[in-house]
Amino acid sequence: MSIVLKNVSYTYGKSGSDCGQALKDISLEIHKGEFLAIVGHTGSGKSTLIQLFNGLERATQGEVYFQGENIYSKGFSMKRLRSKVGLVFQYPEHQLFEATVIKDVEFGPRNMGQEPLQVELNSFQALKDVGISEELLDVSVLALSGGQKRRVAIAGVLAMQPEFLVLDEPMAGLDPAGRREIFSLLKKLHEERGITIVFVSHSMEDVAEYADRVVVMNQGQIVLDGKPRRIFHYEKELQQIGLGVPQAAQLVHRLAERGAGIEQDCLTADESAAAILRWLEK
Amino acid sequence: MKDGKREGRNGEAVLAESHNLVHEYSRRDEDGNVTGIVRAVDGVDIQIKQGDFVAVLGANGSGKSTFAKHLNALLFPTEGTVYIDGMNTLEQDNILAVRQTAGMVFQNPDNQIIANVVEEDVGFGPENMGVPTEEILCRVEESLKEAGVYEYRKHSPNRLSGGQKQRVAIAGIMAMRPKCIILDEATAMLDPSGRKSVMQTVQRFNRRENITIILITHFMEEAAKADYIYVMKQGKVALSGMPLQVFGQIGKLEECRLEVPQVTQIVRKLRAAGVFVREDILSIDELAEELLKIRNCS
Repeated sequence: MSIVLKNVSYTYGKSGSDCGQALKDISLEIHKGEFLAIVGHTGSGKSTLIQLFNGLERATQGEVYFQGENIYSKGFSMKRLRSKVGLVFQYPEHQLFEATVIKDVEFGPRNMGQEPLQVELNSFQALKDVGISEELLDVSVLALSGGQKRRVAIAGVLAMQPEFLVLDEPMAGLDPAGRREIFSLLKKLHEERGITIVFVSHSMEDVAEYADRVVVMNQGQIVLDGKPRRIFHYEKELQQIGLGVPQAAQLVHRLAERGAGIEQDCLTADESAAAILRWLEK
Repeated sequence: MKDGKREGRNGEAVLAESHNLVHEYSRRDEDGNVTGIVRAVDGVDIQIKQGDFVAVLGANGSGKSTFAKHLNALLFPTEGTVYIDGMNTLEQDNILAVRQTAGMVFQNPDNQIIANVVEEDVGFGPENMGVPTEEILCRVEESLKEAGVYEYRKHSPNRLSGGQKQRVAIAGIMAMRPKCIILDEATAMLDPSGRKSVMQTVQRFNRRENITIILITHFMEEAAKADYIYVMKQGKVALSGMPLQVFGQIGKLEECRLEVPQVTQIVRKLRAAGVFVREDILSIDELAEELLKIRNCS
């Protein structure tokens, strides 16, 4: 039960100056049950990468496997793949278009060919899961706040009952409380529904707090892949490719550079404060 | 045309000022009938001095962007008044001058660049203002250099990164010789290095040329660099002060759906555990320095 990319490259354009390589020889396995973050500066290939997961973009070289099946083989159902791997784009609320909240959520599952009763049940459940209350079901999407709209857009994908939920910067543009709300929603889906979460993020603090694995992209390649605690050791290397580490990690790194014998694998404010206290008491 | 220069409490020049500013918009149904009225800005009084670097924080829907659009005469007060460099934005004759005085950078880097070549985009503003060609060329070169995007002057904007596009937008504003730049969540869509480059650019303009910066943002680390912070909640100013004063009030910030930067969280945790770290620390380097000092003394 996984998504596997094997020696995948992606080249856009035909030839000449318009031609560019967005992904170079990428091999990656996403296991069921992971909470995976993909980071990289703008143009590093993150968005192209995640569109390969559900066959929206086709690799120009290499293979993609879903549950052991080559998705480019003849007779493979892309439709089934797209209902199993749900993709939530950046600013998904810009894509809401139906007159009411419930109609918008029902659009996906209906299109997937679910039975009318199933469509209703799944849509209702999805809205409940994202925390949209019943009195909002028949309200116009335009009347909702930014955070609510984003949750409705996520519900639209959830109603297709995906096993993998892939989100391109799900927190962009939200206030701190809104970010936390989206993350507790993803955590709940991960823990209670067993949905595998893959998210793209520019916030290293969010990555440190929520992800159990981080994939770092640079110039179309995977340069680091591992647990956040290990990845954020590489502050210099991350900075060189336009990224950073959480402030909490920066602080202990600065102290260690100045000769302090302090634990360095801190990810959060709590962990840093605790490590500093232990160091001061030494 | 102008209402004359206005002065602040201590006699410094005031660049932006609002008195009891109210902005209402009506909600309409499909037939265009008004179904309700929303007060997006509800009695805001602010005063921003020439050369200040001010951050405006607030949750989604708190009214901060609506407020910002008043400073650029994109919106007009339902009640109250807004003065930009002494000009009342309600007076039709002032609008062009207001927009030249206070330029705005928007959230989406792809929505505000219009020309096919970077230097043409930067020249568009002054050209529209009727600046002589020689002078335009001079200004374009200077603005591009100061914004750190001179090397891309012959490029097509759509080949630039988000941070580079935003810096081109800022250069375009600087070429109009404004007194103030308003950034309406201009870093929200950028990656960490893009955000950093935009922040460094506006800080440089602020320090070197005394340009007033009004930064609308969700990022607490950016607001920490400002001289003064306004926090908005439900259309009103809920909290204001210097960064340290504002970040000292965690409870109030959380009520406004905000949080404090990680460095402030760590300082507070250490103090709560009995470590006497200075409270007025807002950067990681400063905190590391302070901790090393404490460790060496004990």
